Amino acid sequence: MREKNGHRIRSVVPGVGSRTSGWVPVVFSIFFYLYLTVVITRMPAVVAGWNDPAGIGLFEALGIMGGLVALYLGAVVPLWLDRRPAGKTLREKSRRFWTNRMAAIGFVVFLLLASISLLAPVLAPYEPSAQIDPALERYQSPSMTHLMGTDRFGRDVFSRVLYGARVSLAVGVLSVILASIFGMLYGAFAGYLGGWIDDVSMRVVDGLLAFPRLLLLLTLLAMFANSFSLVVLVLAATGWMGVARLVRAEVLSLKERDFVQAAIATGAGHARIVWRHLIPNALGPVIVAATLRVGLIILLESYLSFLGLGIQPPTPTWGNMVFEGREVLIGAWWVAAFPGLAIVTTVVSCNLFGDGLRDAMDVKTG
Amino acid sequence: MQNLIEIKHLSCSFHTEDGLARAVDDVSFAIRPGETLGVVGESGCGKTVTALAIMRLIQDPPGKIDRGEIFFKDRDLLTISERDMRRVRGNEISMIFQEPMTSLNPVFTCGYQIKEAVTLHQKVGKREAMEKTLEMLRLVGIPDPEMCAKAYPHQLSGGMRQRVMIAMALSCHPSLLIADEPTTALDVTIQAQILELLQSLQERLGMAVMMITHDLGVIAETCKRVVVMYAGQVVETADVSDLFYDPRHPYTLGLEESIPRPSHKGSKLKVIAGRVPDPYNYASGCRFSARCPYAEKRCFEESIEMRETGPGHHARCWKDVTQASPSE
Amino acid sequence: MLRRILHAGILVFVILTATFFVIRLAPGDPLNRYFSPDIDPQAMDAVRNQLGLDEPLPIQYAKTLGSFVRGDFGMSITEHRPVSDILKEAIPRTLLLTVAALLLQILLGVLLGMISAVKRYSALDKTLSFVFLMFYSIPSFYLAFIAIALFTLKLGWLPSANMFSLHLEPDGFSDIVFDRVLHMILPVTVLAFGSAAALARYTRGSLLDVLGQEFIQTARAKGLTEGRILWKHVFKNALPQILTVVGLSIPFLLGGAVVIEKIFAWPGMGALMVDSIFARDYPVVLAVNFIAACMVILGNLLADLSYAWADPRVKLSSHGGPAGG
Repeated sequence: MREKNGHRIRSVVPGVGSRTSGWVPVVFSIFFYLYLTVVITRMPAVVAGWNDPAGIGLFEALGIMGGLVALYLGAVVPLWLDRRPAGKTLREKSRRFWTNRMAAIGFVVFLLLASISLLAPVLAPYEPSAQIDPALERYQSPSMTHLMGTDRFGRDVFSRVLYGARVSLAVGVLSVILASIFGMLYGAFAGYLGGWIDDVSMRVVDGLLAFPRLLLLLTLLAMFANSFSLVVLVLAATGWMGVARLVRAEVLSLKERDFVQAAIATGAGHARIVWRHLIPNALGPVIVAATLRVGLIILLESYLSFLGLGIQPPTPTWGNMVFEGREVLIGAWWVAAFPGLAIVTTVVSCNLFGDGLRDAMDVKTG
Repeated sequence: MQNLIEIKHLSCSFHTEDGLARAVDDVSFAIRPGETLGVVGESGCGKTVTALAIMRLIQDPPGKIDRGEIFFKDRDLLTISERDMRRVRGNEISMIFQEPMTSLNPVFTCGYQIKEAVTLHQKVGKREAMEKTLEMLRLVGIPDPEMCAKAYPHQLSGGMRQRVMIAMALSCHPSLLIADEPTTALDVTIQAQILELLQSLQERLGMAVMMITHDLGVIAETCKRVVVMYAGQVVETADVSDLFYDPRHPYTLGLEESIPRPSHKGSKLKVIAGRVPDPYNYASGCRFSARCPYAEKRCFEESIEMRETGPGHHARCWKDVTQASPSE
Repeated sequence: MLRRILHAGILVFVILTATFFVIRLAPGDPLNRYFSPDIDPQAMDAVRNQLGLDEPLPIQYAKTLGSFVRGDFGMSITEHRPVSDILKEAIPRTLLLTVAALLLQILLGVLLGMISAVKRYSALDKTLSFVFLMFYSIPSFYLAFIAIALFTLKLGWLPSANMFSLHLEPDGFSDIVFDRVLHMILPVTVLAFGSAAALARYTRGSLLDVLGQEFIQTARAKGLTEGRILWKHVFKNALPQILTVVGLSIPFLLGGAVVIEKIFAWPGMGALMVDSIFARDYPVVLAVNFIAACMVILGNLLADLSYAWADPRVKLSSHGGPAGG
């Protein structure tokens, strides 16, 4: 390997970009160790407050630890999971990902948001729905006491944005995981079995893809009482078709490969072939598509919340927070502006991250 | 004799993610009118880049022509305006490519694509251009020119497509045709037909041909003089008979020894050991030294200039390969 | 071609069926939401009978299907008038909005995507790419609020609600048109921007794909100008894919119209949809879904047709869709 910019820094976080250059990995590393410090310093408080209802609870403790693990794995696993035949080595992919500055920024920002959402109870200065004194505290402009001002009920917008990240990211990530798993199985079996089964299954996919998704979502949500899990479920139920198509196309080409033919020849069962041979090899494009989709889902969730059919107030979601600011766009711009900015930042970082993964893995997504 | 085109000290490089690749480094050679010059070398040795540099078709970024002069009919093609260059392209210098499958535009008919070149460079009316197109198709031996003109590329076979490409390239009677591996992608029987066609057309139209190939068989069959390239440099230039019977560069020797021959049946085929050096950082010294069986200490240390080894015969090696014995 | 129309028909049927059963199988009696629990049960039954809700589900389904085929969408529960009358007012308004947005989207998306592709890897391209990404990631309601705050509240240049000025004294037809256009600027622009950004990203990508192919080198070697290469050789190759994306953007536009119509008080199908969902006006919900599905399918059919027109390699009679792959 040659020197590129004159200086080259070996990544100081083990496993992340075996050899990378530029300032982005450095920022990532600093951030990583900062996070580690937060976790270590907060741990005593977690242990001490174990049985104290006012202290940091189990969920938060899990969140703190989970954030660390997610940070670490998030950097390595997506590239590692992609094991298509004739793919690049992990080292090569990792180098390509980290030298792509925009991708690395997207990734770091996304992880930052993810850990913010997990750490919301630790970071938020106020309770998200605490109405301190609506008469006195309402519509205060941003200041040191209220970083993003307060809303109509005197609630701290900053704290609400932090908690809103939980809803947005949880909805985004969970429903994408659900949709990807279902779409993957659906597409893999359709492509593998072929014939009329494939024909009919793909017609169904085409049909669902053709329908305006927002209308479908509204109809579904309006008919059933909406809750967090329903929103996740409904978003997943209307979002698996793209993945199914992708996996089917991948499987169709894999099916002709020798190793799959060999597996069929040795008499392996259908489920085994799909599970052991086809899906692992189609995982790369699915991961890329899933990353890009997280952004889309977060957007969609914000639409639903905005229209009042998503997760209901007083639970803060970025969508319903923007909606609450609709009447004071000029007078109290901060009420709508900050949650909206949060949506944009999250979606942009997801897309940058996904684009970067796509370029690093060199996959095409439909 | 006056040279038709003379390339002097041409250097091109590519800026890529992995750094700076010196694809063509100080290449000089000339082609006389009506002559067929063979350019031979492994893939990635800079043959195609040289050809694209002559056409000024290297995309910037990532590519760049760093140095050099290309005199064509007393003009330096590297200094004339883009507008003047466009008048040269397809008109005075034409090019045909390796892949007839992908080098024709799939959404236009073959006739349209030929006609486009004709109307661009010649002041002719619509009907004349069409006639010219059909004439060219007939010239390249297409049995039913009218049908072919109306066909889309995907409806024709590879050999037919390459004939269409040739018709298109020759439609303005260029004085130089650059053929970049014109037969590599074709079946062996079609290869021979296309080479034969090129030769007969060259005789009829009196143009010069720069035949780029990695196949010494093609060289032997079609060329008068040969330029051998290795790792972005010219390593040997000679008349074709000199090159085959009296090669002066160890690389040329290696190339010739690696051709399978029926007379040597049973004996093991010789190969050139090792790999082409990394164009991103060439070591000092002769670029072939790492693979050269004759290399000695100074080959690794000093760079070597081209040296005349006989009349019209130059090589980039200070040893007399024919006398030397491989040093192990 | 016939095959495609047949598929489209089946698709409409499937969507109608799915929507019907989603609505009807949802827990709770639709009528409970309109009447207080202590209402006379007999009156309830009368209403139920009038609306045909007392019959078994399969029969209701068959009846709905039959009347939909005849173009009869039933009665609106809240407005007490035929759904088809309501739709007759709403559809043209939504079409006005979405078609205008579609045109603006194509214009902006293709043009900017082309500029970006021509100036590939330059500072301009990088800036544009990031701008595309931003607009692609902005929720349209947020963009709408920014636009309203800026152009209506701060600058006072553009109206931000309704389709026309309430106290306009038109001085001839041109005034009405001008007033309408003025009211359309904000909603159409906001609606178009998101999908224009997506289209621009896609256009850039497919133009770059084509630009990297060998026949472009052939065209250059012929001596063609870059302009001619771009407009003739590149564009004609990329056109089929661009058309497909335009076709796929139709459902997004219709979905986007829901939010936009709500924000800008534009009384079209989207606003109707949201209102009737909150009012549990099932016949209207069903009909709007049905119409939207028809529009999308029609749009896709048009996209497929133009795809075949743009690409000589595709014949409509051949099996399967051109979008595969």
